[in-house]
Amino acid sequence: MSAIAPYDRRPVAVTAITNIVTVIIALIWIVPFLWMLSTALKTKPEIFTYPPQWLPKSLYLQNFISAFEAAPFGTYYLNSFIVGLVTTIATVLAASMAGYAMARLPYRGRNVVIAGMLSTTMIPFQVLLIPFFILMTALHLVNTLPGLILAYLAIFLPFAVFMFRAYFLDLPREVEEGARLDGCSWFGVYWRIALPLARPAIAAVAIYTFIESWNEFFIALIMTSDDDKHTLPVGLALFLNQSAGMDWGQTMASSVAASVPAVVVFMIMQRQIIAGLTGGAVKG
Amino acid sequence: MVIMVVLMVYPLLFAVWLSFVQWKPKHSTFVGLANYDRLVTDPIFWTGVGNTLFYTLWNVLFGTAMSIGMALLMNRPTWLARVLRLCVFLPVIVSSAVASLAWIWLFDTQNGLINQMLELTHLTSTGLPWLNSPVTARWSIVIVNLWLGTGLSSMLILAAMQNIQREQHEAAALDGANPWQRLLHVTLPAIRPTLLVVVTIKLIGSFKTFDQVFIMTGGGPLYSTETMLMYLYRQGFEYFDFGFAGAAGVVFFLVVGILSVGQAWLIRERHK
Repeated sequence: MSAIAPYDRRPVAVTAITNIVTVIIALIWIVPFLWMLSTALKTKPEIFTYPPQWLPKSLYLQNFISAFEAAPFGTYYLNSFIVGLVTTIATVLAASMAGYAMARLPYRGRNVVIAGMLSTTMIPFQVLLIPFFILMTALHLVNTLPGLILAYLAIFLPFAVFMFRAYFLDLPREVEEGARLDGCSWFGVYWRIALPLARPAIAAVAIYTFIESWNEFFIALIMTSDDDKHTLPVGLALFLNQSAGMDWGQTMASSVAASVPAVVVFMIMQRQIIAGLTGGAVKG
Repeated sequence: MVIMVVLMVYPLLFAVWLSFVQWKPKHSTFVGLANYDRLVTDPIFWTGVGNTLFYTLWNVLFGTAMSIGMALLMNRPTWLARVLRLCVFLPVIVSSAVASLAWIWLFDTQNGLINQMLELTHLTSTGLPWLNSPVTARWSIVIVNLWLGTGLSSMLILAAMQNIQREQHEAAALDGANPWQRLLHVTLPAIRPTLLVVVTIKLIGSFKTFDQVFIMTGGGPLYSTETMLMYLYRQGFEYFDFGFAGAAGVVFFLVVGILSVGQAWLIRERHK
């Protein structure tokens, strides 16, 4: 991968053009984010200057402070964290157990359960939206964080279960069988042997679930109506509609603040995330 | 598992029942096919269907082709290619709400970066109306769709390209195949199964287009960017006409369900 194969050598001009195209495309993809960051750090007169200023004159942080005063972004942040963490922990626990059971436990009807679970992943959640909403209303879970978490579990679990099942199927059986012969219970084998070995799968599922629930918009929009129940994406989108005269400095500042956790997690765990997302997309 | 059944299967049956009633919290009245009748005679519903197909076409045909080109650029052993991977993947990591807000600001008619650049370079004299005119709003959404959707698909295609055995390229090169011929006869056949997956992901994803439309245009101006899911949302959660929205949901389910089953069938064929 590191060296260019002889048959891949191109004339210098071709390589140069390819490089220029690469740079232009990379810019098209990154400029919206850079412009967001730049706007977030500008004063109001700077934002509206023509021709556009690429860089702010100084690091103006007032937009961040004003945005947090104009809307309860602290609450949105807290809600997003609670929903993200609980969803992630519950998904990892439930999915690893279910995945282990589907990979190892000998019980009747296992294939029916697996097929049933697989078929639920084929139904797009949006279709079930209205019935799900009525059901949640009946259970008094609408406009509550537990209700939102339950909705996310319903969406993220099947994929996570199959990630874990695939991982457990690839583990060698010998150690687990030895433990069973020595009198360890199924749960003991799962908890003491299989789960510690499944650390890469745990990491992949946890990161995927956290980022997805952190960024999710549609279900959060429907499930929460009070301002103190909104998660960040919904809070952000409604902030733009509510703020009179569209304060772009504040809007962009809060967008930057909302993106930091997911982007930081991504920067640290880039490799696992891409492997998880691309692998998951092919399997799911 | 019991929770799964309760959460997924029961609502599905409920959805079908809903579509035949005029929904009220206590006593829903059975109205037969009236909801469906109203649905197919509502021009806005058909606008939504038309736009959804329009976005789907662009995402699937142009988006897939673009992702192949992008993966080729990413599949070079230089640091530039690695930077490109990072940049293109970033929209996948950031919330659709954040991305939509960034694009509203870029598309802003008076102070948006795009119009300012158009004026500076004298490509247009006054800039384009972007989200404010029915004609340009649809194209604006197409641009954002492509910008959002290329990260994952190009990364999938890149992974498939990197799985191609080096020897295959070497043998082809020895036989005198030029890069273009190797793309056509080595790379493309090898990534075909992945392309199938990418196309189906894009197909089903396009039918669910909602976030960017809801935030950027709200389906307007004049329903020019309306999608099927926007229509369902408006009927259900703005007008609270659950029975009618349920009928829209069933139609939506039939369309996406057929596509999903088709996807599963195609992938199974591949494994044989």
